[in-house]
Amino acid sequence: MLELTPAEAFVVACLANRETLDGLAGRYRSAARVAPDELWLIGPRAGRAEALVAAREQLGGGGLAVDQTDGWAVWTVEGDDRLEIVRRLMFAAVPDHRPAFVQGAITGVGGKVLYESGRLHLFVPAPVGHHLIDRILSVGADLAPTIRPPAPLMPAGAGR
Amino acid sequence: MTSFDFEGRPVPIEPGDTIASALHRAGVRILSRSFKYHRPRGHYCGTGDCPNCSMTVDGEPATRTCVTPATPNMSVSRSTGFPTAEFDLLSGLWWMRKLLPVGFYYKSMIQPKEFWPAAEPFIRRLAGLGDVDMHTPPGERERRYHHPDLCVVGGGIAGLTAALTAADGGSTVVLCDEGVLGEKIPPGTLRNQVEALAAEVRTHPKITAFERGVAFGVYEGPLVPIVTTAALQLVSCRRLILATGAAERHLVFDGNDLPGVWLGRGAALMAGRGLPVGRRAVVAFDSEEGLEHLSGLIAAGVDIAAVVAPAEMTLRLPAGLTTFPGGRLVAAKGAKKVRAAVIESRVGLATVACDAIVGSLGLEPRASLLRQARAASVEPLAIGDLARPGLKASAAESDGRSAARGSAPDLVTPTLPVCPSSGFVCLCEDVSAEDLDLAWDEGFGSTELLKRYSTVTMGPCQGSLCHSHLRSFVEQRAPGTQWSGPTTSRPPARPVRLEDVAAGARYPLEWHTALHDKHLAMGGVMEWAGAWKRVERYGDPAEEYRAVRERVSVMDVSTLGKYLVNGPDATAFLERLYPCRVADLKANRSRYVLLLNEGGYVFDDGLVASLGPEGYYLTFTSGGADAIESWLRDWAETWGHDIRIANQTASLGAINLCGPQARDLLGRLSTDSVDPKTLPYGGIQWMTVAGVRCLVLRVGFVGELSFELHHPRLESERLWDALLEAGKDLGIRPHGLEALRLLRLEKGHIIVGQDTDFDSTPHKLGLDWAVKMDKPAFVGRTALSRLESIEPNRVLRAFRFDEAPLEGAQLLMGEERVGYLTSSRFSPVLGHGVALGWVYRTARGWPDAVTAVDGSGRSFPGTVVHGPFYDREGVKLHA
Repeated sequence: MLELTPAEAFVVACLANRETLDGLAGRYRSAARVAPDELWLIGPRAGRAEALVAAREQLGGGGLAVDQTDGWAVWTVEGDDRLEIVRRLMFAAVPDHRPAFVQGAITGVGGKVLYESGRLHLFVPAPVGHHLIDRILSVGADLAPTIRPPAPLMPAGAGR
Repeated sequence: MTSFDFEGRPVPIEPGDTIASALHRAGVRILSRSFKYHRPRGHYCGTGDCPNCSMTVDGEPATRTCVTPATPNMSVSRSTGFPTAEFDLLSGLWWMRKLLPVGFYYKSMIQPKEFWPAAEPFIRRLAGLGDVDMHTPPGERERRYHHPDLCVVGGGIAGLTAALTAADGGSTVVLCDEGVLGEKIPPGTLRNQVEALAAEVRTHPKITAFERGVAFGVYEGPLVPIVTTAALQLVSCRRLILATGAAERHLVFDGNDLPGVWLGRGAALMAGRGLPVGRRAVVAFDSEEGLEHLSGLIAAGVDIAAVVAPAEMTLRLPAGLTTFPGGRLVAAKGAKKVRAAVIESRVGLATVACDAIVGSLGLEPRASLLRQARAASVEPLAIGDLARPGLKASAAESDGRSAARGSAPDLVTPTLPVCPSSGFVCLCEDVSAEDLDLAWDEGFGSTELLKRYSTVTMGPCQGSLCHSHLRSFVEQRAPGTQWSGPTTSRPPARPVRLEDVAAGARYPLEWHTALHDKHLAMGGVMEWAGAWKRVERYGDPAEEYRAVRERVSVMDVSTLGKYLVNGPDATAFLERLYPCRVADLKANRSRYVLLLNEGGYVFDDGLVASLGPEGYYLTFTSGGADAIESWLRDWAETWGHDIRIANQTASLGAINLCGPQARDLLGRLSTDSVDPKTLPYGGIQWMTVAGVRCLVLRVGFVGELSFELHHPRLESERLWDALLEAGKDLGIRPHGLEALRLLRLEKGHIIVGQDTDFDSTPHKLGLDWAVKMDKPAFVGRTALSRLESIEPNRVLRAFRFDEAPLEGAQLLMGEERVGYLTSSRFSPVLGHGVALGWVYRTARGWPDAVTAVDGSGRSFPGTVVHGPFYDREGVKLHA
């Protein structure tokens, strides 16, 4: 079984040097390290402005906080077959631990997966968001996928 | 009883039948015609190692019918033979073989030069292994990814034991075999043992078993692609064990390809199904396995005409058999099937009447994947018959257990077979020993050279049968040298469909702007622009063009590359990156930039805009949008600059609002000032437009008053709708790429990629003004400074024609070809043709008057124009 929910998420990209971001990452439970000099803050879309302001304050002049919310199409995947669909779409291995953040090609486009207990969130660039859902429905047709109404993305530990 | 269709007649199917076994029961002996000489070919290996049984099954050519299960109602036909495989008129080619030696097409069809193009289609038609039905759409194959601890290729005793041992120890395992586990082994104790292990493997929770899963390559990682009926399985594993076994050694003697000549396992498998390979057989062997095959044939009711075996083995034969101790097979006699075998022994040559010859004379490791793995710097463990051909079952089991724990036996290098002197070395490509002799005499003195020249080992079996014979041939002529080494093995090791290779990648990956659906709803005709789909036109491009020139228009330019750059070194970084000045760029101003590579050649262009303390906003062309990111990051890292780069291409939409009434429309939707003093040409400004926060750039690509509204992607529809609604009374109309091409051409603006080439310097493009050579450094400066002293051999020029030649038209000056057009359109506003094109320097200098000749055959006199065609003073642009 596969349950798909369009996730209303915010993505704030924080760009700064490694040490600054190391310090920032510790303050957020819903942070994902994209690169040594890039950290993502992820949360429900309603919190985007607040997150952006907070990130800019914390980075000060030494970094750049950018709202990239509109740049990503995000789907939350739940159900027993959630890992199976990722295995069909993504070359990178499913990690053993949770939460986990994995980057790599998802159905041919650069994307990211946030794994949590019992669910995961797929991120692909918004211009190919239609492609991701098309491919999930095509590749996972035998997994009886169902699509739910959009819902805010609440990462485990988010909301503080 | 069920049946399948074989060339119009039903062939009954018994349980467990392969297509080939069902055909054998039905009396079909000729399964194919050979690649070059159209010689009849019959059952041979029975294990999928040779090309003889390749047929077209349900429209798919090159199906190995000896390992393909027969299923009801399938359609089977032989792929070769003119008019039929049974009676092939082209078999006469064999009698013309002296005229068709190896590499004949390199030697005999060179002059006159028209000969080869004329002959090639016939040769292609005569040769080959079947036709692909070009009208059948390829299947929508998918791929699956696996990440086991261990991947085992090969489901014999060694492979199965390795998989079970590793899985019992807690490892996850993927195991594959190209057949159903055990099916390639003739009935007997060994098969029973394999089937028992297979049953365990199939139910083990830690093992994923792919039966009829063909591993056709080993790549770095290691990564093993496996074709199964369900999907292409891509197995990325931590450890790899190869247990691909060994095939019986190909028999090379005069007449070795006649129907009725069998390899021992093929004959034994057929006998195991109760199907004798003939009424009277000559059997040759030199191993215990061969002895078992002989017993199987006798049990199946085959009359044994003679046995050829080592002397000590003939002593163990049943009484009453005619034997040739220490003898060897020399030839098979017959036209379309075996009539007799010629045997050489101590007493001389003997001809023995028979209708089958069965040979089991050594084993060849199936080492193709092993050689591929080593070439890919993968060190797999090789076990079982692959490592030590002819291993006993108990030793294979031991191999499997050891390999699961990480160790494997040393590889035993099998002895090369006797050098072939007559007969077909390569069944796939019809390469005979005589062909190799000729090629050697012509100077092709190594396995690799012989391979390339004669195509030996390059057929569907990829050298499974002939590789060792080729090496033996070279070894005899250049003993102890490197020239007889193994040839390079490359994927695919087994024939695979192209649709399998392309599995999971055949979908069109289109990048859509946020307005994509809106464009479609408005009748937009889409076209590819890099990875993006963009509107080519909504209706009449001429109307769209007029809206821009006369009224107001909008265009979705969200596909532009969009980046933010800031940090302490941002200015220094961009100053060093771009050939123009950046440090003197005032806040809220933008500048056109060329992107140069180290060679000084233009590969993209765009804008740099200063956001003041917030850094810089960069735009690039749609085609370069994403590739630019790595370019920026590479240079930042190279120079050690402390900067931040944020790719905003996907996050931001952009709409170009343009036309004489663009300011009027913008003013209707914003309370911010749109005064030209506040927002002049080249200026940028944050504004709220129809409630949407936008970064507005005054640009000029179309040559009219223009405002690019960069905004959050999710606001695109709202902004687009508001602009169209508010501009109704102004006659607003969106325009697509076709209108854009003409608009920018009238201004003489280039499109990078269309008007530029791989070696286009700014000077050649007439864009010297965009390069400041007095800057101490920028990417490409060194190369440009060296080129300064060299007069270019060609330059891009603008041309005026009365009409518009087709793009690509050749430019002539008299009879001399002096260039070609890269862009060309008819300008309704100017009433003449406008074009850009490359011209070469001639002995008389740069051409200033040319004649364009295009594919229509017409001629167009034209003249060079300096400066833009439209709004030459830039009044409209700066309005």
